[in-house]
Amino acid sequence: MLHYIVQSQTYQKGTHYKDLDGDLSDFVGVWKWQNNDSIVTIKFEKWEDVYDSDYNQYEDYLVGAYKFTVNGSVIEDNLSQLNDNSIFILDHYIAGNTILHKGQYPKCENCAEHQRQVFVFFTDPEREYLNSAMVLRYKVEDGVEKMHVVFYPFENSFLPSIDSPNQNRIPYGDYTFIKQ
Amino acid sequence: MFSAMDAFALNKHNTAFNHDIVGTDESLSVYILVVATGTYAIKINDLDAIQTYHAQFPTKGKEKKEYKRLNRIYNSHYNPASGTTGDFDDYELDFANYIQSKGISLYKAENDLSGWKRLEFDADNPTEVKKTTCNEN
Repeated sequence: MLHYIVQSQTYQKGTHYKDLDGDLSDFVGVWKWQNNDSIVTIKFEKWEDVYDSDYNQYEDYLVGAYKFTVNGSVIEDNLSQLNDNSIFILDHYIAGNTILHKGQYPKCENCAEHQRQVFVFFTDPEREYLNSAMVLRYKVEDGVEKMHVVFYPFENSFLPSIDSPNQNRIPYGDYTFIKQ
Repeated sequence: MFSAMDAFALNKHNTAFNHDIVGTDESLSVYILVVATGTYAIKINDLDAIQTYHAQFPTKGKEKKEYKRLNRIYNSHYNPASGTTGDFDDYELDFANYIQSKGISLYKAENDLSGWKRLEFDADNPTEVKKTTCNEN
């Protein structure tokens, strides 16, 4: 798990938030979800010891990018963004490292007692104003690695106009991805 | 409880719908949160302060970082052994502490929307929020 030291409202300078138990590592790789003519491909990397100069801290992160096609047409493809480490870590379209336990929102009734989940921020580059997140749950079933994703709006979003869509181009919902 | 994203969204709402109207009171922009233990509200009490604070996070990614910073404090109340979260007193205290000097004020009412109180962090008594009945202000 990511080991944190939190005291009251302080955010300890010099802390190294390390994924000591490899909770982020389960998700590294290429994952695919398909339903009829819709396909989502997500590629995750684990970036270690990312330095935050504001707080003089290091953190391990799960960083991702994705491709979304419908009926063979590419709706979004930002997979190449994953190669750009000049971008601020949380400005990547998928990134995060928050470990959630079984009882934390979104609760996981089917998770094992001590199973950990990973919260990552998600951005649709055409709808950056939406606050969206994915909670990732790793599971091996019949020898197949699966990633269950709960995709949801995690906070209040300020829509720039009354006509602005309140959904990403990939709809919110539950998805099960298969490791490629 | 409210988050850093709520603080940013409140400022964006005020800027979009309120800020350019001369003489408009920025405290008219209010967010309400209804939970089992009561009803909370936040509003802007210092426009310069919230704009200065928000300007420190010029990209969505920087906003997310600030969200994560407060959320990490909220999550520290979760006890994985018992599966219990903190109670609302914990979150009130965290948020009241967080919004200090950021131009936002926090309020709480009873379920029937009576008895509004302002909740503030008190450095002289940092384990408990200071509650001031609004009618007495």
